[in-house]
Amino acid sequence: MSVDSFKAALFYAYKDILKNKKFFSLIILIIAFTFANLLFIPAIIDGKKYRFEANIYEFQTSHIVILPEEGEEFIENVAQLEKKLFNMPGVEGISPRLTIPITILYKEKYISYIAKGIHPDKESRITDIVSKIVAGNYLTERSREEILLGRKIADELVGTSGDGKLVELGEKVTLVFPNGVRKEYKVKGILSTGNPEVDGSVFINLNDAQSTLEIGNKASEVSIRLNRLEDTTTFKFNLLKLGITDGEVKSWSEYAYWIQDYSKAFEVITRIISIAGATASGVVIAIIVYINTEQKKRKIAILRAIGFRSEDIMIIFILEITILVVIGLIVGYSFLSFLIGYFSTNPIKMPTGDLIPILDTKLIFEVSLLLLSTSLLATILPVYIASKRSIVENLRGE
Amino acid sequence: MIAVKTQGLEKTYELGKVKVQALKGVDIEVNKGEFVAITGASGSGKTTLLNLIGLLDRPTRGKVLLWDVDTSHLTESERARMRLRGIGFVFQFFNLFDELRAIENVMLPMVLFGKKDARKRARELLSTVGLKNLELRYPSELSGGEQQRVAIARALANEPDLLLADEPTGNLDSGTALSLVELFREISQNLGVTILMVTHEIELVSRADRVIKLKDGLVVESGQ
Repeated sequence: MSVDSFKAALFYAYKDILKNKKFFSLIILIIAFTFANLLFIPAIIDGKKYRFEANIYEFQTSHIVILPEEGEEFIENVAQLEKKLFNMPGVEGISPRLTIPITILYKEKYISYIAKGIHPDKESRITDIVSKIVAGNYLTERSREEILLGRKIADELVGTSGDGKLVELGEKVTLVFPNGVRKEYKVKGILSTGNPEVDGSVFINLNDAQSTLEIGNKASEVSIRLNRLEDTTTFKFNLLKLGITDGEVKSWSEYAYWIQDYSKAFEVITRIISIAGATASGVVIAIIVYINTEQKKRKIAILRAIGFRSEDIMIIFILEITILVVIGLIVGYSFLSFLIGYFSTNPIKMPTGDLIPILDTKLIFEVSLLLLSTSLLATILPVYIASKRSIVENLRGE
Repeated sequence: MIAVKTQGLEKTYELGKVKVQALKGVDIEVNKGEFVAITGASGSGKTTLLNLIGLLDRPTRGKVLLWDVDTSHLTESERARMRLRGIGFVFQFFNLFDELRAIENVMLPMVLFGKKDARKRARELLSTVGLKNLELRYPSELSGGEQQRVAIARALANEPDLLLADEPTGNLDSGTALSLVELFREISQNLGVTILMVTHEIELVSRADRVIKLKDGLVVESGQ
């Protein structure tokens, strides 16, 4: 194709778009909203998936969890392990914990739960539970016989679960430990994270728990927070390679192994929605573009009569649809960015926490490519057919 | 010099299962710069002949020679280039592009041809056909006669050697029709352009140098 042919094609395409602004605006809007629609629902699902996963490592596991060796109940010599771990690059915080099966007695109720013995300061460096206190205060290093209740427990202890009534701050609950020790604890705070596992636990000071159970320098697990979540796999690999611990090392996703099934389910749902939506939208766009091009058979014939070759005409229509699709994608992306921006500052409130839609860059590329290729195909086909037909027949409108 | 020559030109259309022979062996010669009127009753094959000469269609049998070039062996692309460089068309229904202004309609073939100063030349051509102040109007804002003048200006854009007009006055009043045919005459005389005009209006036929009369797909008369 010569430069002159391209210039002529561009000249005609540009003038055609300018003159038929209303119709082409409609095509642009259809492409824009199709683009936004195809990406927004998956963005919500991705946001939901992210929130789901983040609730695990932000409130429960942190990035890496070291568990006792198989058959052992505790990790021994925790203080020394902490020192070794702190020397490893990329570590932001370390927190040993005791997981204790307990029974809580409150008024006439007694319910079995899991108590977590934590170092309040160390814990606040590896998880964000401190930011999720909805009533009262977080524990301190000096806390003794003070307890943090997960919202689910605070709810269950006072009545029917879900009725909104919670245990009052300052009230006393009795904890029965596995060794038979009974101790009264004052409710210092209530936390609500959206993670059912955390909201169904109680938290007491680790030193308090260790002395009650008479197990010094031991932990049921040691959680590690890294500078970057993305380094989890590498860090775990290095930890095992250096033989720093005899315990079992798990990444947060391995610890909460069931999350992988959820994540896969989310991905399958996203994929199905995308494919179904893309197919439906692709067909709609193809039909509109096809009809538009089909109506131009006579113009194609005139173009050929005045000297345009089939390939020159093809360039006109390819240029037109490419310009329209690109503008449509820009408008759609702008609209989508506005929506994402809005929901970033006004997150959707969910029981599992705030949900912010997340745009998948790969999906943006795939949807853009799909819309462009569908539109091009719907353009090229009728133009090709019209270009191959007799000029006279097309001029007659046959 | 012979500009247009047809040899045993035949064209058969298939309308469903029915075959219609529009041309049954037409032999004509048109000299360079000649202004020829092609007449005949409706269905005599006038438009078919013009379409074949203008390379808009291919004959079933026979040849079209333009400036001694046998066009039967040309590819579609070569035929398109020949239309662009050497042939101008004026249709009965104008066939202008609604989305282009008058001047842009005239410019388009020139841009495709790669002519410099396309806008300036388009303006001159519109002035020549008497549309000096209407160049920025869209076809829908022009009368039938004015639209046909734009079509003539577009047909002349690339300085063709051959101008083919298919009932160019069919949709115009008699006064406008006459002035357009006078314009054709001037173009033929002043620019040396060969013109073939299909018409069945007797008054217009008399303005041509020569008349070719068709009947049932055959030339029945060819003379002054």
